[in-house]
Amino acid sequence: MITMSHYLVFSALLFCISVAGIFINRKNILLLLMSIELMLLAVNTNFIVFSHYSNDITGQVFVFFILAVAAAESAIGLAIIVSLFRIRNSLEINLINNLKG
Amino acid sequence: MESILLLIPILLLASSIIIGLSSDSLNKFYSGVISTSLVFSSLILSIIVLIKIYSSNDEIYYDNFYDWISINGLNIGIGYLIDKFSSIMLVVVLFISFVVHVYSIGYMKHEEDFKRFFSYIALFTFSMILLVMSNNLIQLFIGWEGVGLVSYLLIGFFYKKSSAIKANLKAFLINRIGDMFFILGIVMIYSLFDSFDYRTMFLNLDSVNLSNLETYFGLNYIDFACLLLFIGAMAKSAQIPLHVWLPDSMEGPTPISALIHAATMVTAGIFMVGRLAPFYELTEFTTDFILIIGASTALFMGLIAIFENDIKKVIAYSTISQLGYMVSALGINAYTVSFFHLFTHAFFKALLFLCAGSVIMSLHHNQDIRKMGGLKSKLPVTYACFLIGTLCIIGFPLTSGFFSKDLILEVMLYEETTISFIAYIMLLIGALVTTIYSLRLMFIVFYGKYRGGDVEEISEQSNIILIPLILLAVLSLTSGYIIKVFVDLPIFMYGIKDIHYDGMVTYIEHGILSPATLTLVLGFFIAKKLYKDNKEFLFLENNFLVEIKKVIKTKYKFDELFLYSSDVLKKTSIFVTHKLDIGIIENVFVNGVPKKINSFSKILKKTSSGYLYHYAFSIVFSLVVIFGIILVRVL
Amino acid sequence: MDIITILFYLVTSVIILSSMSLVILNNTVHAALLLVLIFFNSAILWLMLKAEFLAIVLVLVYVGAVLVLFLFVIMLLDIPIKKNISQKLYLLFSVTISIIMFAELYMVIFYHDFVASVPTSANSALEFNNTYEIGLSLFTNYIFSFEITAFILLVAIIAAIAINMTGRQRSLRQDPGKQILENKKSRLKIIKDEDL
Repeated sequence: MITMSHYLVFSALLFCISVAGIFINRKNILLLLMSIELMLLAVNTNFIVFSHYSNDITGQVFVFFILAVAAAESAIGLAIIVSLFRIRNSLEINLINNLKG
Repeated sequence: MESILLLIPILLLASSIIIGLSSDSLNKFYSGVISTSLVFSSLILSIIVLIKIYSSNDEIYYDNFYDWISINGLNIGIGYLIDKFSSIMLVVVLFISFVVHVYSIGYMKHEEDFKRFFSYIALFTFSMILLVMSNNLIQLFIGWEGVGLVSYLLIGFFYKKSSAIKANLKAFLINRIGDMFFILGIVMIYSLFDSFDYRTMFLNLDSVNLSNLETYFGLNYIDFACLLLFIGAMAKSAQIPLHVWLPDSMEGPTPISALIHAATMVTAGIFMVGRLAPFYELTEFTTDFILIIGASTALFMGLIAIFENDIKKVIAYSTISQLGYMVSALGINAYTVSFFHLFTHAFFKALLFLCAGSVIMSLHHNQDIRKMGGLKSKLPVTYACFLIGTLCIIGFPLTSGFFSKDLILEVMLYEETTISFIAYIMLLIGALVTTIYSLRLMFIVFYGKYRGGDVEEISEQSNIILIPLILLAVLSLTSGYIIKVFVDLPIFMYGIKDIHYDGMVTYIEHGILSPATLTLVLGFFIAKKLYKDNKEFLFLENNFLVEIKKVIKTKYKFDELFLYSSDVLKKTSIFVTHKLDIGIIENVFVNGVPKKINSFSKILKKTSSGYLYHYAFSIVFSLVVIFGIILVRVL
Repeated sequence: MDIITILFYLVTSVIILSSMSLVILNNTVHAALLLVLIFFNSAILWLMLKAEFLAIVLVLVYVGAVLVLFLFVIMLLDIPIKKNISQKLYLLFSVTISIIMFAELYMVIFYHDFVASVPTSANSALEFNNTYEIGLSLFTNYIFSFEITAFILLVAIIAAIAINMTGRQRSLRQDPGKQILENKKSRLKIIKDEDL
């Protein structure tokens, strides 16, 4: 029998993997964006699980919003990446440290 | 009446502004005439005021022109208080100023900065008038400072001469010392009465319980306040030890010396003490202090004059000495007597200075008396005037100096305290000294042979220079005869010193028979022998006297004293700057804090590497830690 | 073990494994394709949770639009494949922190007893229409948020265009980005004689 905690553990695992992905990845900013998408997926899964088990549609409405905002975010993120690539000719994260104090 | 009183200073200020701001197209002579005529109109107005005062019975004109500052019960106005005392002062100041104006047209005609000069002297007179007319201490202080400022400008009139610049700075700094004490005194008086106004102060004097006030340095309140005020007067009126600026002020043009010494600046101190006489009546200690200062100034500064070789400096020291007489009279609360001497002294001192100016001009700006001599026949008018001035200053019978100086000596003698008797002796010796240095100056300059080389060029100056001399000479001779006015002069509604006066003839008779006449005769013989016949007294070769002579020639090392004390101050301030200011405040606080912040921020800077994953890591790490802490608490 | 359980473990293991390889891989094209796989499997998982509408949206919008966009960008930029130069220390740190994080989440999940909770009947009823319910909620309670979401998307479109707008190439307009990145080498080129 698949219980709620199965789903929750799964999404926690997915989330942790994508967090680790952000740290491990130092090569490509695109992969970083993908890791963020994964994190959002884990969160969305959580929302749906809670919505399903507490019998409340609101969670799914939120997932809808998150999907919309995530789409917008990735669109802008990709646009930034494109212009960044145009300037730097590279997407390596360890070359981007303009914020260095 | 108010409009007349308002016009007197306004005309002077207008003169200063008009001449000061006029364009170059205005002729020198005409600008001088404009300035002089404005001063003359002021003089006429002040004479009208004097006549009005004397035709009415003891009336006092008192009002404010306007309220200047009015904050929460503190009212400072610009106004006037005209009684017999200040109206006489007004006339004297304006008369001397007028004479100096006329004289300056001739004396300064070759100067480039002619207009600047006239602007300054008008402003000088204006400041003094402001001071004299004042009905409160603040206005007095404004005039006081104004006089100090313009004297600075005038002493340094020849600003291309480094000695002039040093002299005016010296005058200014010494006056600052006095002013600091003066303003402290004003504040003390203010805190007693909550008012700066003379009338309010003096009318409330009885209601203030003086014995209950706190004491400072063992002096009671009013003693201390009066002492502070008098220290201010000491700087202005050149009393020991703050006299050092006056001889140096000779760097200014000669008419200015006449103006400073006769009417405007140095008399301000005497006037102030006379104006605040009700306070000085209450203090025993301070008047004794004043007496000692005055008497020693009169004697010791006179001694210096005997050995001076600069014609103007001799007269300058004689001024200090004469001011010593006035101050001594203040020291026994004989304000009117002091004021009488101020009055007569104004004329003959202005006369002496203007004569000296005439001599200097004739000799093409030579001031050294060792290069003069035999000018009697070359400059007859100047000689006659100088002779009258000298006779006045030595107190020759029937001249004005005779009346005023004898009066001081007589009053001093009848005071009958130990200290006043000592002062009397000192002043008597001072009279002898006065006779010696005055006659010395006259003998060396006007008798004997000319020692300056070329004789042909010396000739009398133009009439515009000689007329003021004659005018002053006449007044010097006659001004003593109104002694009755001064004997009866009330000093601000306050009880006047009872002076026994039995009419002119008795007074003259008494004066001639007094010891002062003896000093006169003695002085005359000594001076004649030493400086006219050029003989030596054998007893003067005595070792002890030679030593004294040496001490006098160093001018008692007052300048060195000031230099030494300023040196000590300098060293202290260097210590303070280096150790406290730079060492602690600057290095520890001002620069130290930013340095620490800087080094700390250098450490902090390393945490912001600019790499995305470092930031992400720190966010997640702290998230995990906080989450862990919450978990540990909950579980 | 019923079919649902098998499906669950199958789907989740696919997702976990592919996400792990996504994180480790260097090739962006492979990563994007793995993401497609993950989203498809997630859609299955969401279907199991009776969120049919969102499952379809995930496939249509995410896989169909966003991930295709990713692929387009990858193709456009022609990014050279480079080895991940992640240091061992970083790997260790990131894995450790992830494990700690997971442990904490795990503790939370089992501290609250989520095991017992079972979906109520209303949700699983035959007449229950997921899409209808979401639509009802969206256009009544959340109408304002919905409108704002529309604006956010509009802004995203404008922003994406604005960021990548490069005026006409022929114009002599100053380019601050280029100016900043100028260095000594790009300004001055020293050519030696023998190179000529």
